[in-house]
Amino acid sequence: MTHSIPWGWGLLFLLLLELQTLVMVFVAPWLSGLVGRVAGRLSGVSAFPVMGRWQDIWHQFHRPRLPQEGAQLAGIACAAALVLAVLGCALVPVFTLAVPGFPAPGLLLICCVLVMALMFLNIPCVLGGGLGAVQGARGMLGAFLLLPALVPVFLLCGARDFSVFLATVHGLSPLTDGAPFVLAGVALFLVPALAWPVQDGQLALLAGPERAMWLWAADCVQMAWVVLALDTAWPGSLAMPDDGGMEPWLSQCMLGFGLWGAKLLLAAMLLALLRLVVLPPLRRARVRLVSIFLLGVLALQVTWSVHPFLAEREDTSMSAVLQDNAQASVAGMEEAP
Amino acid sequence: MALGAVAALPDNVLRGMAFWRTEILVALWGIAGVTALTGAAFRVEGEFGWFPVFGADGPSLPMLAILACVGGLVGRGRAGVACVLACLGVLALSPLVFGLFTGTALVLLAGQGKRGLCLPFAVLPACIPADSSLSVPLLGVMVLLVGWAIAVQRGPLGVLPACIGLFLLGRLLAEVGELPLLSQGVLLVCGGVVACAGLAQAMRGQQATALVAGVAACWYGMLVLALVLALSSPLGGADTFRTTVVLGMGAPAVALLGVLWVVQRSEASRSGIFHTPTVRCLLGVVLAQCSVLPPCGGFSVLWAALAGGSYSVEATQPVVALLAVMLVVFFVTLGVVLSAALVRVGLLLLSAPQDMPDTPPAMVLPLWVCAVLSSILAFLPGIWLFVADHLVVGPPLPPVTWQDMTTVHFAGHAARLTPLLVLLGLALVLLATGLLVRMFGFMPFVPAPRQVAAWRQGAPVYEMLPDRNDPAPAVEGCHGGGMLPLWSAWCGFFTTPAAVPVLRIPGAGGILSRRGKIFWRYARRCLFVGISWCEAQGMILILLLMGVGLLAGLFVGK
Repeated sequence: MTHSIPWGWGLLFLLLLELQTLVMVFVAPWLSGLVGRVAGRLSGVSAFPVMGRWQDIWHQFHRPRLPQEGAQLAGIACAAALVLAVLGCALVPVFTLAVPGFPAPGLLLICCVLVMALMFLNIPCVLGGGLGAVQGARGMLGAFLLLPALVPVFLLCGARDFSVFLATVHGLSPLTDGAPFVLAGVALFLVPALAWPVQDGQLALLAGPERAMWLWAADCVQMAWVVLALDTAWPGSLAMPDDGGMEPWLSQCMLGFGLWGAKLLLAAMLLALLRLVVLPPLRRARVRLVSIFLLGVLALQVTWSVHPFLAEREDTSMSAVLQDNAQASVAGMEEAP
Repeated sequence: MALGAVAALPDNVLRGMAFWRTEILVALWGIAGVTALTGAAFRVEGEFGWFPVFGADGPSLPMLAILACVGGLVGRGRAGVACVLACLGVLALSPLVFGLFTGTALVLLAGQGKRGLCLPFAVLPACIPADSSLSVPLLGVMVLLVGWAIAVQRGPLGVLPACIGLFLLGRLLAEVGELPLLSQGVLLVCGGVVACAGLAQAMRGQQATALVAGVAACWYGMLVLALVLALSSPLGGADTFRTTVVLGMGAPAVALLGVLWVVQRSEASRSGIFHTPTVRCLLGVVLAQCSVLPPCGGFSVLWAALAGGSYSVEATQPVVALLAVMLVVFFVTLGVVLSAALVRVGLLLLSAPQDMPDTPPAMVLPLWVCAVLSSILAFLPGIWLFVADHLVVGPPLPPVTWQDMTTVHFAGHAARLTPLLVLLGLALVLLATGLLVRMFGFMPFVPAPRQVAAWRQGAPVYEMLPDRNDPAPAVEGCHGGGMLPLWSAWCGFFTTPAAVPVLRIPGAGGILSRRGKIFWRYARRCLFVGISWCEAQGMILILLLMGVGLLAGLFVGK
């Protein structure tokens, strides 16, 4: 990362980053409404408008809030969750990879931000006390334990920037060489897909703008997880800013933007289908953690057996042979006199 | 150092100065800490020419700086003396003198009873040669005993045994070098046991002090894990784990000191000290520096551990790599549940009732110092990595440039973490979110302008009847649930299904015992069926058995 970035590229990338964040943040409630609509259709409930979530958020922003005891802490938690969720939306690559040399986040950073946002989303429920506190604590633990369950995926990406990782696997076909990354993407996709869909219990104590912030933050977090999973599964749809000049990159960005919309539609269908899985919340959380971990380990193992470590191992064995030779020669030198 | 001892020891000797004793002590500790930091930065090593018992070598000066922080917070009395003794022990050159001083310090910490009897054995591994066969079991015992000593302390003194234990462990492991697999396993299991016990205490403790002591024990156990991986394992990422230990002794340690101090103070003064929003913000900062919130101290520890795991996985054979993956998963689980326990601390302290307007503002200068220091250490990690590089023995540091001050990176690898950039992104996003939310016509954190009657708000109206005889419901359900019931959630997460608790028979125990009972009945039934079948077969079975015996005898006899 020593070579300097051209200023034009950096500025353009910053502009694209802002655009991406805004689009993600504003599309997130729409995605949630779409998923609700499709899931409702599949299960026989048809009165769920696609823009309903947006209307709800807008309405809640204009309602007066309830003066309650402990409402300040809940408000702070909702605002923190919203900030972290928007940060997560800004960190995920959506239609283009980062310009090389531009500081980009690693996968651990993105996932930590999203997990902390999930944690903050559970705090108002905990503050209510009573049975809700136990449920909130369960939700919090379920969010926190996502990180250890995702460790194989982190190790698969390695300790480097996420977009550098995506650039290395950019050309691989998802059907042949990139199959382990599809598995990792499925593991990431299970995070929003197997989340407990009914949010009323967590929301019950909030009213007014806090409730709006909560809803919006939850949608943004879901959106960020979905886009993260889609990126990992098929990095070929993202624009690469490395080759050629600025115009091909921008046209690739346009293409990537269109593909992003298509991918979102597909993801909405999948999410709605997975909503049909009926499990109690605790068992659902357990299934989620275990399946994420197993998929990650499987992806890691497949990568071991197939892909790039063979070269490194050959390198290490070569160096070991070289070292042996050197030691032998040293020994010979010692023996010689 | 001797001045520190003199200032701590006499009780009424200095009459006129006794009024200023706290300030004198704090100033002396501050001077000691700054001296140690300067010495560590300039890599001072060697011994006093006129008194060759004490001297400074690699790990002692950074450890001395941390101990000075502890000493500044604990104040006077036995705790102060223990701190001074620990400092002297860290500076001692011979292992016997080290054992003497730190053993005395541990005894002073422990007080009477079986703890006072057991704890001095923790320094025993310093007194035997490092390559003897007893060394590794004694080290395991030391890790367990020190973890116990941390978990029972109340207040900032809990960091002191952790420092002693980590110092001793780092010294001895660096002396031994690479250990066989079984010894590594023993040490790792000991560290894991300490961390898990601390976590259990932090998850189920009712008092805030016990809870935070459990958090400290878990932190110590995590550092022991990383230290063993760094110094005695053949994994490829050993140098990275070393950085993990150094990072973990930096910002999280200072922040942990702040949390311990705050909890002790709020327990000591009955009215609590969280009256002003400043104190609450400082507490939030200190808690965040321990937790895995991204740009903070705990996150860099986690990041470094994960990078180490990644390099280990890349460099080794698949079986060892799978073990490394498991270790990293365990480490990350510990860190993550530690953050959950910190959330619990925060909710417990912050959601306490706060309406006492006429109490005087409490003295929170140590909290300020801890918060600022840990923020500096966390956001400019290069400084701490440069100063405390010798805390764990390792390869020499490559030449440092000014750009390295803000980043964590490892020699020979491309990965780097810049907390300041994350902080900048967070600030930008905060600004953007504020603008967005403002666009929706909503000003955050302004009290509601229009107050309507309670029955018009839509929430159910209820009142606690104050004149009942039992105060139990007030404890159980009022203050917005100050406690986060983490332990029951954890148990429910892994052992019991989501059953309604009323349906369970009270004496029947958990799901495992019930299933075990059913399984035992089933197995007994299978046994009875088998026996009755054998009885029904009669002679044939005996013949078969004899035949089998004959055949076996034939084959074995040859």
